[in-house]
Amino acid sequence: MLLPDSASSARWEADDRRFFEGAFEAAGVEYTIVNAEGSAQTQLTQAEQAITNGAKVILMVNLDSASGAAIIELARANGVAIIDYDRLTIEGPGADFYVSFDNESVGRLQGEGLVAAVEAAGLEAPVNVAVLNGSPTDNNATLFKNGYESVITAQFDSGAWVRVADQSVPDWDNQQALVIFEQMLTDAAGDIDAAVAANDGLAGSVIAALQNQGLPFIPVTGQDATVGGIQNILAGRQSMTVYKAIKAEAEAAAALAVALLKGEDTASLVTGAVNKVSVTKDNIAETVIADGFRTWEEICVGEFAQYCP
Amino acid sequence: MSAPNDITQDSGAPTSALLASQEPQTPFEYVGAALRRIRSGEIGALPIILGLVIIGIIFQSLNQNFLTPRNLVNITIQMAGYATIAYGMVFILLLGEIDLSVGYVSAVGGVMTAILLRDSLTNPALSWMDWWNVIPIALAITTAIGFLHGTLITTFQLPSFIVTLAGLLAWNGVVLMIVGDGGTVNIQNPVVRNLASEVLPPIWSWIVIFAFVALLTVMEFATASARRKAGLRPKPVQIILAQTVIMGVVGAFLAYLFNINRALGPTAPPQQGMPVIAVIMLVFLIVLTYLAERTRFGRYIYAVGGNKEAARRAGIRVERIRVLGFMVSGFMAGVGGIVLASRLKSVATDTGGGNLLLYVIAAAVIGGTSLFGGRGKVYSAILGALVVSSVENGMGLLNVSSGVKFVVTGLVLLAAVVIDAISRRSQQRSGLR
Repeated sequence: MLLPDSASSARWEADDRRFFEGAFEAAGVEYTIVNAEGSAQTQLTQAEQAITNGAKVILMVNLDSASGAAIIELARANGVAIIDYDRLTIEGPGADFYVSFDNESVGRLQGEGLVAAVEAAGLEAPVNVAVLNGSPTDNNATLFKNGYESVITAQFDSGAWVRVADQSVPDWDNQQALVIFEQMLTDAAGDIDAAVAANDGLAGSVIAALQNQGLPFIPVTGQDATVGGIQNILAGRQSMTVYKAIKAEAEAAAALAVALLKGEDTASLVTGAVNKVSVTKDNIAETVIADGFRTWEEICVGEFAQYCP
Repeated sequence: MSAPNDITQDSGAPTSALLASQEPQTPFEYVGAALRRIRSGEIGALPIILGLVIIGIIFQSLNQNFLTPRNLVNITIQMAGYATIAYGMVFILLLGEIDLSVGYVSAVGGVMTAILLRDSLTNPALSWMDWWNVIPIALAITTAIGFLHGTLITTFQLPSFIVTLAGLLAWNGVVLMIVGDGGTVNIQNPVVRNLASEVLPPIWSWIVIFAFVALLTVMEFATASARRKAGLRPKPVQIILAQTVIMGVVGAFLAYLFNINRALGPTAPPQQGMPVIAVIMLVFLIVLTYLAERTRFGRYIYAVGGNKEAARRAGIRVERIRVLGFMVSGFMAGVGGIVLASRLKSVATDTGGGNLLLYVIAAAVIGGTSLFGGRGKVYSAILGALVVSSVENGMGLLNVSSGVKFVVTGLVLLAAVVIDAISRRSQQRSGLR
């Protein structure tokens, strides 16, 4: 199992690792999980290492399409099955399988979430909207953007919303996002009414910037359902987050890998899209909590306890 | 400000006797000598001030919000994390070493603070923890990390580049482990939360800034009298007074700037006064400048960085000084990490990554601290951080793409290193080094 890094999202180390460990332990297969920490070169070396160590199936989250293609060729030359996990390798021969969320629809959920939140807040046109995109080098960030733009472009075109700023955040870095949003606020003289933030980390940067300036909270989107993100939603600082059932995605991929390893039929597994849902204040219990992805104990800490059921 | 080459003279560089005998008496001669030093490549903070003026003109002409009081305060706050970590980096560079781990060591400081404060809310056994004991614990941990790096480097005679590179990886791993499954950790403690956004009542802007100017003046007079006692020619009184007047005018302008209401929009509550974080930056500037320039430890740092073998033969315990240097770096990284965590009011798995390390080294070097050891000032960290943050800040205003950002930041860093190299070469030509 080749993971990409720990910066683009908290999920790789925080979630994927434990879910894959759990699934592989349960299936009783031998496995290793490594993280390339952002280096495509490292990832290639890790793939070679895995093959040398006798890996029969490789699950890969590529760092970019070209280096992913190199790993696929390497695997194929050595007769090792390879699965693209979460990120599609567009270039080259292509992996044997691709397991992922539909990332554009994640973006659409964010777009719809923001439209709903702006409506709920009763903001009057023109609504000044700032857009904080993910890393410019992450293909998924582009897909998220395609998704939310497909929803919110109509709002801009109709003149109901005004796009006051639109920037990408290198490496999804929250500190840089904080500076970028502070500067968006400065440029707009504080007049930003709502913001698209591509994940919970970036949403946290928006929230911190507003608090630092003594400004009221605005509708802002998120993604990944982190503990901090859910707490911010409960406290009314963030409108929504997209909970991608990472567990379901990981288990689907793990089941596929195990089937390949044991030479079982994979046809029955290769169907269906994996779940992702929009999480707002109203459905936290039915989604992240019910799935066991988060617990009330880790969320309801200190000041946030007052918002908990 | 003292003459840029005071320290190299005091620390016993071979040319010190020669230079001391040329120390002028009248203010006129003093200015002449300063100009000669600039011509011979001892340019100090000159290029950076010029660079800041250019940055100011360019960004202001592209976006009229750049030089507003609110944005200048923005820059002050945004640079605090870089400046505090870069203070420590200056000590490392003076030693002729490098510390690549500061980004993630700072993250250890910030994340430990956030995690301990969170656990104090959930774990009854830790309920005694509060900001005033958690912060020292976090700083003790990062200082211990510096001690560990320094000890490994000196005990096994390893290059600091490799040891701190290993540290970069290892501490990144530790940060991931302590942040754990939750992904992000919100900081709830009001003191830590507000550290980066709190401002002092307006009157305090004047008090703090004038105390700072007075302190610098007293330090200058103390140096002058110490030099007189040691039989060296002191800096003329007129020059010291002129410096005080200039600092006073700049300080008054800053205090005035801090006290303008910079609230965003009519609905926001009024915002005026000096940010607490700016005071923290100033306090560390004074304390660390004192440490570097007025204590034996500081002189030894310069001596070891200038020529390790000569320092050893002069009886300096070189290894101990190097370990202490890394401890200063670890401590300041911890301070910076807490400042950065306070800015974001949370920590996450990506804390300490991104451009942080690059910006910190860039800040120290752009400010005029040499990568080759023995040459530099603590204040270079704050000047360099000002440049780095101004560029980052300005490009945030302009809505430029990430590609443009990277290219511009790269060019600024390159320009700084080129200036460093040129000034070194002309110093060699004029026989100062």
